[in-house]
Amino acid sequence: MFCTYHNRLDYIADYVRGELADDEQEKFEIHYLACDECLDAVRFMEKTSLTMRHYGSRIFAAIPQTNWLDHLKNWWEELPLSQQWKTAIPALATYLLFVGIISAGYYWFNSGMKISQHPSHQDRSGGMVQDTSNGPLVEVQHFNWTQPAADITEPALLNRLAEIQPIYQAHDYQLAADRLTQVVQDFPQSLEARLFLGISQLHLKHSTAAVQNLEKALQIRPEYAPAQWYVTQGYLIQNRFVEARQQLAALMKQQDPHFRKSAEQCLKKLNKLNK
Amino acid sequence: MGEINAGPPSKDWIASRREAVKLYLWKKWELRGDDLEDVLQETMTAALQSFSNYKGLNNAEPGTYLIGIAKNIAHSHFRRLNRHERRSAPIEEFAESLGVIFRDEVEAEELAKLLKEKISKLPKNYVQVLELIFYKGYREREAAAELGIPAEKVYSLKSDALKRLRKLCLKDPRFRP
Repeated sequence: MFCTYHNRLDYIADYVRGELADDEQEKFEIHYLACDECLDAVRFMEKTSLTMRHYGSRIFAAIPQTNWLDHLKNWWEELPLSQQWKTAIPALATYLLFVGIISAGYYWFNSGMKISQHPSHQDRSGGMVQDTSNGPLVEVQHFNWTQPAADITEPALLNRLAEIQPIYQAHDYQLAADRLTQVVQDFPQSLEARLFLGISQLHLKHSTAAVQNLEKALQIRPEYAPAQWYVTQGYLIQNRFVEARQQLAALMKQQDPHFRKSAEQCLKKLNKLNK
Repeated sequence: MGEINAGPPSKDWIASRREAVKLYLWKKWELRGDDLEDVLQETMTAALQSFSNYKGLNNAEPGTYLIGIAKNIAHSHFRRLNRHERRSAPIEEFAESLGVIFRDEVEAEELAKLLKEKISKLPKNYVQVLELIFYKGYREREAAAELGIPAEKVYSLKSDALKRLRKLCLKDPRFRP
């Protein structure tokens, strides 16, 4: 004979609470006197019921709300899987997640590198390599020096700038600054030499010298957007916010959309910082 | 699993039902303390002595044999005490469960802590139903009115809550007898 009661805990609970009709009660008593599983279930229900009644104020007082994580844990605990699987599956899932994150990160990093190395990306902003919409207030960026300006008529200057240009492009700012300093001594009116000397000095954190050279460049060609942008960077490094704002205001009137946008973002940052 | 002994009971089988008979006498006949022990002892002795006469009468369940003996002895016991019925005075169930359902109060306290831990893992509506029915003593229909849900829902919540609670409890070695 097979037991039909032991899984019916609600029925057993009714028996424990004296809720069954007399004939049903006796029928169940005859059964559980001979059935170990039902005896266990009756004992469990009797214990649980008595405990809840006697210690109910303590048991039900401020039971914390179960959140979705608890439900998930309970659901997981109740799954009919062996303990080995219950340990192995989360471990495997964690491992796969880890591998996925690493792969995605690697892919993202690589594709990011490829985009930034693409020539169209470099030249899109008139030589500026990075966008300045995010990041710190002052972040001196590399300004691409593609080739010496076509309007230089002096062959000696042209030759010397052509020699320095790859050094600067290789980001060797120290060597570029040394060479450009000599060029500036020999050709004090060279706009290009002043500009790239100023930018190199900004990278070398020689802000005073950089600002001087960039201001000279602006004297040679007023409203020259790259010189205006980099002298602004110099002013910001030196906390000369009034002069920086004047240059930014001038940049906002420039034709070049990139410098205009950069100036606008920089002004927003300054306003945010109340500088 | 789930199969119970269907043949004529042996001496060993009768001896193994001692705890079941004790629970039955405690619950059904509300026997306590020495009375409970006396009637239990008498029932077990009578069952063991007369088991050779039992031949699975009319294919009756072996529980019928035991319950018949237990009933007769409980009746005799009450007659001796000049009581025809179970006592009518209210009983403090918890206090009297010590030694039968719980070993002692320490075990009951420990169980209360564990039960709180397990109940806190149940969904809110399960907890509400358990609280109303088992702590506050509501009937299912009263609980339904209190919660503003149909009575059928309360029955199913109660059934599911008890199943999940027992499952959680059985996984915990501290709950096993």
